[in-house]
Amino acid sequence: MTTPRGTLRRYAGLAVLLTGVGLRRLVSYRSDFLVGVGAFALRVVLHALLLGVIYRHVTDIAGWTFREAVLLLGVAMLVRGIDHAFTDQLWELGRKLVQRGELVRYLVRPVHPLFSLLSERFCYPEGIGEAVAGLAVIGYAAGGLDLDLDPARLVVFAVLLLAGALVFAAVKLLLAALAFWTTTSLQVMTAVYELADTARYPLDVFPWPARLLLTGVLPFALTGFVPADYLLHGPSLLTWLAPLIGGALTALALRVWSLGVRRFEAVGP
Amino acid sequence: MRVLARGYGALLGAGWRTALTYRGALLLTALTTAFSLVIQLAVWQAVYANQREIADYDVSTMTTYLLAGNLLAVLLSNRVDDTLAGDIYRGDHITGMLRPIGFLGTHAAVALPYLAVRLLLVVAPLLVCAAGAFTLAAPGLAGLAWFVPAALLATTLGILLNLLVGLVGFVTTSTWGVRYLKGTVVAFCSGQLVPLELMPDATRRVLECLPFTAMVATPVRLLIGRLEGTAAWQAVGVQLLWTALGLLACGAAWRAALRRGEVNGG
Repeated sequence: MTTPRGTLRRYAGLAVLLTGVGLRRLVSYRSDFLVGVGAFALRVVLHALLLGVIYRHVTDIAGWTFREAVLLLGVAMLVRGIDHAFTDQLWELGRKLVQRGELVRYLVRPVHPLFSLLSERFCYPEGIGEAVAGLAVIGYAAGGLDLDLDPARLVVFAVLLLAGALVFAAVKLLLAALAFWTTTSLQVMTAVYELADTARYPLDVFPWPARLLLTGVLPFALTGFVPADYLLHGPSLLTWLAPLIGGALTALALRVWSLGVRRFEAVGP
Repeated sequence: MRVLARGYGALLGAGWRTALTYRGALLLTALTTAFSLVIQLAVWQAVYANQREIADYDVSTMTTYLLAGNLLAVLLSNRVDDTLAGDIYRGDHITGMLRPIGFLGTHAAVALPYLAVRLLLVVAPLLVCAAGAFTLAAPGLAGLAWFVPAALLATTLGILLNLLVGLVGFVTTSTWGVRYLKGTVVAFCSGQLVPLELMPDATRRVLECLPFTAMVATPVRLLIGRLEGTAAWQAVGVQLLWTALGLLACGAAWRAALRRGEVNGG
């Protein structure tokens, strides 16, 4: 009989081992990997530059100053980076694992299949880089803002960041699990992820149908705007709803994943 | 000559049927483009809340610029880089070279019906919807007349750039990183996200020396009448120059790639 502590230790050991395997696979295409990392860094710089270009001509957008908008950008990057670092393998589920029957190899291992799947890309370097870049951007923006950073506020902020990362992961899992019914769901995933860029903008600038979509249907507002708004302007209704929405969405995504796994059929490993 | 014409004709037909097969993907492209546009325009509406003009762009001209730029960007996405790199990765370029038509020409030809379908089923409906939903600055006849050839040249440049990116597969095997880099650079440097006039002078001067501005900024500036007379002729001349250089670069890269490529099996 394995104790919960023993199970946890075993899973942690497996996570480290499989992370190493994943990293070795990633760097086998060294030049492409390095170009990808460089492109990613450039994307971060260009996003910040784009904000800079717009703010050359205005002092604020919907009441958000340049520093506040940069803080929002940093928070959105940090949340996305946390999710990216741990759940990137879900793209493969939507892309080909169900279509080619390759998911079966995760189902025959003596660990939870979702853990087995995700652990192939644990601590994904691009995600870690995105999170670190997000922290750097937040640090730059915070330098010019008069933020109230007492411990209680930071704890709530950290909870909101985790809730945002849960929203990202849950939406990704839900869409990837659609592949159990549609064979492949990559295009839907890509399309919905385009909407995630909205997390980089103040929610106030969008028309009400878009605001409703981004808080009630695909709550990407929780992945950037809500934590940044809390840090800058204090609590709102969405501050307290965010952990509940993140938790509920995660529970729903796990349920859909379980249903999908049960109906999955493959000819063999 | 007749063999070539028949070969390319067959490719165009097959490409058209393939493009129409994935209608769901086209619908998703239309939806994401529409949403992306709504986001950008909402941000710019907020920017214009407290002022009438920015760098001589009023809100309707800016809306027209962003609409035209984003719809043109839909036609720069032609999948040539992805399919070409895939062929190289699998060694299928050897089979392609046995055909009586050029290998790169095959990939470029397949892109044409793909782009035609995107034009009909994504760009045109979005244009109609946007014209009903937003206040646009109506382009003049001269602007429209310049826009058509400039947009065709921009689309050609998009195909040539993607051919070059696909050929990187001979060097890196996987081309995800290079394609990601290309997408990022084109989106920012082409003027798709923000008109070049809004950028600092030094940045704008550098960007205007690169081929990316010929892919979005040039046709859109011609459309809204920002480039007229001699400036218009010069802008299209620069586009032609980049197209010629792109053709030469593709030819040189393909010849270099053939010396490097290895395929196992038969």
